[in-house]
Amino acid sequence: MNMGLNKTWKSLVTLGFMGILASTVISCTKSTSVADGKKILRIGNGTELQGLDPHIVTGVPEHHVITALFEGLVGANPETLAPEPGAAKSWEVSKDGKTYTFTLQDNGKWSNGDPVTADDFVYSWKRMLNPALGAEYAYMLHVIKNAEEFNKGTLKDFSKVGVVAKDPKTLVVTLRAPTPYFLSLLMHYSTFPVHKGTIEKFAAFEARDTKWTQPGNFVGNGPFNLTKWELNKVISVEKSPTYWNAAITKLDGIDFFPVELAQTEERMYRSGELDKTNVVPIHKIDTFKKERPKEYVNAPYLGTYFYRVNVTRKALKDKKVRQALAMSIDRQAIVDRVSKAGEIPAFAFTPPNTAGYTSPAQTKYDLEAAKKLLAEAGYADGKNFPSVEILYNTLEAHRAIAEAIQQMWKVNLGINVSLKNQEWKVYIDSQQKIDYDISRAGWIGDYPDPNSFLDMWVTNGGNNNTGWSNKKYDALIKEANTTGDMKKRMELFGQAETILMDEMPILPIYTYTNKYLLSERVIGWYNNILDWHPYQYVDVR
Amino acid sequence: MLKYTIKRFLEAIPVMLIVITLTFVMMKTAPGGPFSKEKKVPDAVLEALNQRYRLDQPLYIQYFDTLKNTVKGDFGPSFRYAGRTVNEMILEGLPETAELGLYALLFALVLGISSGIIAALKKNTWLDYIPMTISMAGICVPSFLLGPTLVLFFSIYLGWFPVTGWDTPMQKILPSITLGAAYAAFIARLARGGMLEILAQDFIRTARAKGVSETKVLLKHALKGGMFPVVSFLGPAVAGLLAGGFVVESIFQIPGLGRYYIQAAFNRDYTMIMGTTVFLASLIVFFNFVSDVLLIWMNPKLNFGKAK
Repeated sequence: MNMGLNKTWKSLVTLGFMGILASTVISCTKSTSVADGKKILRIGNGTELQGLDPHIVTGVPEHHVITALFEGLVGANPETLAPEPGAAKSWEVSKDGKTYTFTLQDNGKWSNGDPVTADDFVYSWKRMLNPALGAEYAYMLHVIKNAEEFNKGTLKDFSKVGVVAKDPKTLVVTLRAPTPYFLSLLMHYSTFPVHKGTIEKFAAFEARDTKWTQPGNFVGNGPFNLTKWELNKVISVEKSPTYWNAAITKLDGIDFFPVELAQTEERMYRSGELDKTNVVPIHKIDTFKKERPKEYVNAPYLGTYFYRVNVTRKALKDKKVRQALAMSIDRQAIVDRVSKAGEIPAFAFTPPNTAGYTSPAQTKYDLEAAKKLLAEAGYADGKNFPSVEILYNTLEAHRAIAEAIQQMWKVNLGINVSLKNQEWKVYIDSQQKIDYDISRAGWIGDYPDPNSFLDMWVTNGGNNNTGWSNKKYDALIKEANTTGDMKKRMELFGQAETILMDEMPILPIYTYTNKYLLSERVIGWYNNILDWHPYQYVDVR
Repeated sequence: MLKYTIKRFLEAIPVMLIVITLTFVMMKTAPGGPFSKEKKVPDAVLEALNQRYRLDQPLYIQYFDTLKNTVKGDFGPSFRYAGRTVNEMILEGLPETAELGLYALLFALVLGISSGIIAALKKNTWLDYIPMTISMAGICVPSFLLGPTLVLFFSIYLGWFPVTGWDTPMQKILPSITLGAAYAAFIARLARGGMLEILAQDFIRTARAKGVSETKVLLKHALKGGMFPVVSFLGPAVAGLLAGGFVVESIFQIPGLGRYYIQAAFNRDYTMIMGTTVFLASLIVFFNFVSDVLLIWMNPKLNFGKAK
């Protein structure tokens, strides 16, 4: 090696080190944001957001942030969930329940000062329903007349879709049938408005990947405005002065932290870095219940943990077998000793008291009846029962429950089942191809109405995935969704769920609860089944 | 030297090609896709999405798209994170990951080399046994155990350090130690071994016989040779530190790159999988290359280019 090269190398190495050191010093001087007497609510929010475009994202962490930044036509009281004015100050429903006329807030404004108009909603829903956008939640708007046709591309003329701006402050929505949960749908972020000028400043209206949701570009109409979005670190929002009801907003801002590890989140909470967590580590639940009962929240949630049964498989074809399986699961033991988190044992699919509806038919824990049914099906004491497998996505909690059920079926019915776990996307693939015997599943309702739980089981429903089909069931669901008589509607759902609980293509296990830690510093935070927390009502001490 | 350098550099091309091809094949054969969700995406929507991200194209076209993008150094938009490109996300996370890796490496080098040298000089005394026992434990204790333990004691119990974050110097201490500990332990053992070997050599004995002071023997004669194993370990170590921060970044909420490697695979975020894999593979190739070149610089006897 010659000396020249040697020297060059040495100086390169030295330079490199100096560069690294310099960058270190510079980055050390960046200081953290200090609350300096401002009222900032700090929330653990699970994972980094997929995005902030309400028409594109699909997750719960996104819901938590988007509800601070945007506002739909109608809100709800966080305590009672009764509809409350949102972007609309009032609304009228026609006698046939099909036409809603919304009058928007007089001083409804976007964060850039533009007025929120009825046209904004027409534009937003057109964007949402435009097939080219590929909005996964577009079906939320399918209750609107001709919306589904436009979304599927069979109708090209949007003016035929039932949403019209009569004047800048009046929006008229025509539904395809009376839809009692329509106002609840409007609380879902997929129906929230977006600002036309901002969307189109960045790209054509059906483009998905633009920068309009970045701080500085972002325009929303909610009680808070986006100020900072650092990937995998924090999303900060601050009180929006242009919000029509800004006078009642108490917080100066909210920080959302994407904390994926439950243990890390719990440590942040304990050291006072968070006011609310997203979850509680399972092994810490008992400790918090005992030592800090006021901070441990366990609220019912609009969702059901259940097993799907592939009704096309041998033995599982017989509904008596499915009933026997359902009746020999000790759900109380599962929630008390396995999942341990105070979930509610579920004996029907729709969570109890969903929009006032509770399934009239319930399965039960009855070993004698289960054994009898299994014998009638030709498998007395589990003899000759073919080998059956429970599929679940790889997660400790699901494994524990599957093991418990495996044990219960062995002891109670004398049948042997094996367990199989798959990584999440592989599991979804198996489920959608109905390539399983029995499969663990969870379903969170999109809106508080039995329809959100029952219409998925119709023949070839996109989320049915069990091979189960029943003409009478299909007819009942269809009738329930076209009748204008609310009492009759609930009765029809009841009849449908009675069929479902008799046929048992699914085995309900428990109703989900939402478990988190909430600091006593936080005021005005209520627990409801929708995980609905209008931040303008929340305050911190 | 130059010839060897060029040769080593050219070897990287087939390596990268194999990495890309294998990644592509594995990615496409794994069941499920970026848009398979628990709530099934309607067919019409799925079609629009596949078209938008060119997933409706035949596989060989998708493969050549990938190669083309890689050569251009533009991995395209993330399938999961709307409105962000893979390049942007890697660049945003890189400074934090690099900084964490650097501190962890400095910690590992300072602690590892010094304790390794002391252990070698005081062979078979408590100054040898104690650090070497601790280092064995250091190699064995995984960071997901060490990190939370340090936090529980120093942050929650004593309240000296923040639990998470990566802004102030105080926030950077525990993560750097957590990530660097295993490397420090490894380096300590390598340094001890290297020093023992050198100290037993004739030229050291000669130097001592000539009355050279022990400090001078150590710094001038023994250190350079004794550090050989450490330097050859540095290449893979740096790559490992940059790529292996996933656990530490999650424990301490550091907005680095690490978690993308893992999440991208779970999300079937194809462009992100390719981007992070190519990025990581090039880091490994590059740092191995640098450490090889450094070794030759330190010991011309190893110059393979000339040997031929």
